[in-house]
Amino acid sequence: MSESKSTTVEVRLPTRLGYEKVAMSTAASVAKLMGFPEDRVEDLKTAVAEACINAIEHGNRLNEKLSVGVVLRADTDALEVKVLDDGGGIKKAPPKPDIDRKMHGEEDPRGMGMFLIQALVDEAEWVQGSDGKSSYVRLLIKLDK
Amino acid sequence: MSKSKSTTVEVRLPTRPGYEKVAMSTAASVARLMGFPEDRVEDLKTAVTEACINAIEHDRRMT
Repeated sequence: MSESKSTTVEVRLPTRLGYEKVAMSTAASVAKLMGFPEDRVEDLKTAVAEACINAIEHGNRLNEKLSVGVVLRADTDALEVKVLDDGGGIKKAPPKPDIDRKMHGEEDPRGMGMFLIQALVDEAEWVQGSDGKSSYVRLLIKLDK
Repeated sequence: MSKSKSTTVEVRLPTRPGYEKVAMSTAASVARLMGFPEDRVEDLKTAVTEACINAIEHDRRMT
């Protein structure tokens, strides 16, 4: 293995639905090692799972020849998670989900991912790759919050 | 990201005691996705943990 920054954990996943659970477990494990309380670990798990599902479905469009990268950087005061895919990134934010309309079947029940992520982590930003691919979402959760 | 075999999961860990737990959780998650029963998942977790501790402790770069 080549040298790597000592506080970074990298995971490479296949573009296959279900494997978001693997990233979820890895991220939860790093967060627990860092001392995050259980409720924050649960928030992080949901956010990471949603980010990976987006990368699998929308970024890589379920193309199994591609992979999804998850890079977890543990600092003393925060955990940063980047979820990378080979898509062009999101150009326009989706409409804000209307829970009532979703409950009554008047709106697609899906389409909650970005909304959930923003609600669950301290920082979330979506970055488009400069070459029209290699886009990522960057999540940050802070310790002592 | 570069291309990879679609059924491969790769994890890169820091050479630091404690991080074997991260590999343990990741391996357990893959095994559960594949349908392994819980007792086999537990066996795998212990084996992966031991292998990672060996890799971490016997790494000559760690001084």
